[in-house]
Amino acid sequence: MIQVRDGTALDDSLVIRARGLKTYYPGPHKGAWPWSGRLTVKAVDDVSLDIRRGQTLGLVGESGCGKTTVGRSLLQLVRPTAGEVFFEGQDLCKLKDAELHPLRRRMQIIFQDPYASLDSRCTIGFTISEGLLIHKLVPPAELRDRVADLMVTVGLNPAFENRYPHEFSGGQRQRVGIARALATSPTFIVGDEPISALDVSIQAQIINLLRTLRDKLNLTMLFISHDLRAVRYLSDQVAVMYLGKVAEMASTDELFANPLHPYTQALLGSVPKPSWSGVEIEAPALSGDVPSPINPPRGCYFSTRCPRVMPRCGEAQPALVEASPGHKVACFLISAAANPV
Amino acid sequence: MMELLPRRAPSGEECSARLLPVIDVRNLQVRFPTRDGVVTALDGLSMQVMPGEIVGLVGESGCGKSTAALSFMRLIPQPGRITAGEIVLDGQDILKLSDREMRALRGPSVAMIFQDALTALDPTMPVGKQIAEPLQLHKGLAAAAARARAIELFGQVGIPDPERRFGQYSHQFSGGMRQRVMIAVALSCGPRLLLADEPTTALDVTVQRQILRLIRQLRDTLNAGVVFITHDVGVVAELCTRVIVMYAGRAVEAGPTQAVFTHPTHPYTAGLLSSTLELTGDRSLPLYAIPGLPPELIDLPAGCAFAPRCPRADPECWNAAPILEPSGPQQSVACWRWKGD
Repeated sequence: MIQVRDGTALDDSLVIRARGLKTYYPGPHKGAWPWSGRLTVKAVDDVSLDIRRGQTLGLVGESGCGKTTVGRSLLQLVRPTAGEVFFEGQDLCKLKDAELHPLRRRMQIIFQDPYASLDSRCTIGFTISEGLLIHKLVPPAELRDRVADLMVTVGLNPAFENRYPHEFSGGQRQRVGIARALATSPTFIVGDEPISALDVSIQAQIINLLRTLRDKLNLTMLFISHDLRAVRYLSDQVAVMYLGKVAEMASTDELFANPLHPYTQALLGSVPKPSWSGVEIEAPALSGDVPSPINPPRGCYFSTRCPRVMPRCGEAQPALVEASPGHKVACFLISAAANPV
Repeated sequence: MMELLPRRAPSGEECSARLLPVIDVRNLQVRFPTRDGVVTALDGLSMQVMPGEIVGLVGESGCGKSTAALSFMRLIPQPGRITAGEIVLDGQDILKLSDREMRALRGPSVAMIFQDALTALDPTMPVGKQIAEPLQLHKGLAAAAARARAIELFGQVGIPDPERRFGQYSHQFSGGMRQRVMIAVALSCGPRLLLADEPTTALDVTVQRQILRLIRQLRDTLNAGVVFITHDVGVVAELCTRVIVMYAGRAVEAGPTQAVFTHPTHPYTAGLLSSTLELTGDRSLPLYAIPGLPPELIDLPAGCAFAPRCPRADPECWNAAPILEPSGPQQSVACWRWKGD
């Protein structure tokens, strides 16, 4: 058992535990000169989350809300500015790159764009085997068999191992990306919008594949998507992000049945409904766009677009508190608790 | 008798008064010669759009839906060519017009909203000028009047602070605002037919909701016909009065959206609908996924293009391609086996 800063013990069923995760990027220059100071983009601003073994956490939000940065920060593909990420008992943020290297095989990522994320000059057989070679996981004689196994696992014909990415369709390339992620037998996988670049009928195939693999291999997943419908099919827990912060977090069934945050409600209300379903097509719940994380609004970040905004929302920032067991929400409509300034 | 009459060009008002279709497409075929063979991107498409009607063209990538829209603008890129059929736009057969005559129609008669507003807008020209330009060219407005009208259009499509925004460049706009600029450009000359090619695919759901509402409002105020191209059956169900489902360059099913989506007669439509992600229903079951991949459009098999993926295919389907035939009061389907066994 390891003690985490807030005093709670880390039990073995927790694969990922992030506390106070902050990832800031240098933004544009404040002035016109190259030596003028830079603004800060707070891509991820104080995010805490837990993922238990074999569970999938869905992370939803609009573009620019920091969901991809959360995924990359957990894997230390970008180094967080502050906070702790516990993976298999170690705080990854404190490890040096060389110390991190052996852990990398236990945590992998599936990228969004199956066209950009595969090296067009490598055969897919090489792409899938590279991780195995780097971590010296398989004797050279068995390498081809292992690659063939992986290709079968993700539904590719092993005879294609010497083909190049351009010879495949988007869905098949995404299967290559999944095989590459699975090659090193990881325990934790980040799926960064793995289906959003695919056609509808192929999306269903990949969702089914991810579900089967997760159950078969007992994978722990962070599933990042802007599509609430996709998240619903794949996740046990869902976190809704807005401008670098978690607005609401609950089990999937609870969140979809009983959304508490006005932003979650607006996201759900924005999903198209058939005109004959009898549901009145409501006016857009939200106007405008997501504000810039360089210059976020004062108080609650959502206050500029919120349909139920109150005077207090412009002054203080609501804290993420438990509204009912396991259902956390950051909104003054639910709780008066505010973040310390 | 009809052949002897000259092809008249009734004005826009006549069209709507007599309820003539704004576009009447018959047996359209578009082919692209390539090194590997001839690609038939569109084969035998027939469709009509009445004023004030939103017709959805839905299908997966490569099914010919964007090619259809481009051919309605006569903007098929080289070396592609319209090899057969006719397109009667607002009373004129546009395939018989000279380039100069066609250019005069783009804007006042037909206008297009492209999917990717960032690449469709000119980055070196203030956005306001891009709206004022067609007004000066087509409507003969003086510069000052065009500017005033452009600012008015900005307001109509919901761009806040239009005076200031007029002089800004496209990179200074967010995705949703850029799409509004595109819509304002398309609307500037009050087109009879609006072609919307995946206008919301790159947008977040809350912004998608705003844009869909805008398109609905514009349809009502201008009484224009709209062709809405998308791969998202959810959007079609909410927005479109009629739908045409496309597969491998052909229309496979057409009819009123509610009829087609509640009683699909083509196995592809049925498959597409049941593989669609939903917000309700049992999420523990695996999704239905259409097996296999869409065919290459080079050397399509002689029979039905969907036969290799079709659960109902029998040997007859491989011999000849089915043509659209009535399957309901206003519904039609291109399938040999839609009646079942």
